[in-house]
Amino acid sequence: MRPAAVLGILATLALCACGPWGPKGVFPGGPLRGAAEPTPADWSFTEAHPLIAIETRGRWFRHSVTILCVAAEGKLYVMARHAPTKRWVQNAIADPRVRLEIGGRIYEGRAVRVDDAQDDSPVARAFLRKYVGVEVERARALTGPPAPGDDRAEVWTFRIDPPEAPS
Amino acid sequence: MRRFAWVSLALALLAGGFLGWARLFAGGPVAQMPGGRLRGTPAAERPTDWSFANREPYLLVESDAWTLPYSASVWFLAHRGRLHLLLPSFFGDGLKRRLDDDPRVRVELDGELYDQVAVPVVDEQALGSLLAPVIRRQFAIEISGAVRPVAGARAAELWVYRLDDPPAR
Repeated sequence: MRPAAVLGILATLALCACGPWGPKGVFPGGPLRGAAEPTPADWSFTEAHPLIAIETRGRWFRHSVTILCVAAEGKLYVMARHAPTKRWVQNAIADPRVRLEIGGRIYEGRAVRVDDAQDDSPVARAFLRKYVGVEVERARALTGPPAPGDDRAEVWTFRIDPPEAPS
Repeated sequence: MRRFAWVSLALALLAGGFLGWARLFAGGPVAQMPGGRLRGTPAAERPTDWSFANREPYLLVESDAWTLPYSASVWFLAHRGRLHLLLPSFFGDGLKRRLDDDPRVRVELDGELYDQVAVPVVDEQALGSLLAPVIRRQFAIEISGAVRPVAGARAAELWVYRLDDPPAR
């Protein structure tokens, strides 16, 4: 390959700051690169990772972004603030097949939206432990769109289930 | 191969041009990308109660601390009438480092620009009073009962700054 071609490719990747292989910081990316690991039975190890990448399938392209995640009772949950406006959320609703990059490893799964409207939610408590560093007596996830005049974010929670076995 | 190189170079120039425009001339951040000087009209007077701002999901904040103006779209909460910037460490510390160097900021609301001074909130009691409202607004979680720090938690840091009116000249 000519040096100009190499330089051109490198410059493109550097300037786009996103490249074809996943998100970089606030910049969304494309497909996550790498072969998938077996789905873990217990996702507790993700507690060591404040940010992970999720790849969803759009109509034409794969779309990946950096998101927050939390493990509760061995299961993995991902959250979207202002969810209805997020492209990855719309993609996941249309096609739940997702790939995740956690600590440099790739996992496959299905994003299943959960309505965690319990009076005391283990997922909400785990979230506060991980991202706020506090243990609270009671934590209730507010689901659904906020009422008029309520300025809270609309947060949707997805549980990552194992991928469907190939038929 | 030669054509491929030219296409790559053209794409690189296009991407560079876009990033340069976003950083310098877009009139503020583009989506989550930091931008430059905020566009807007200097406000004739400052509100005494900023609670109305809570209807916005993000606040546009500009710092001129370093060579180039830097603006970002940040989490915030108007609490007890004052604006508070909420800067989680996992979004990076680009704005925090600038605020620590020069606390003067400009915020944009409804097309109007307001000069403010960012004061770090470090007092435990003040932070404690913000906890429940911040968690409710940002994460849609309502907490009640006792709250205690998790021993040895590796929680992300949240830097909080209260915005005060600049001192009168």
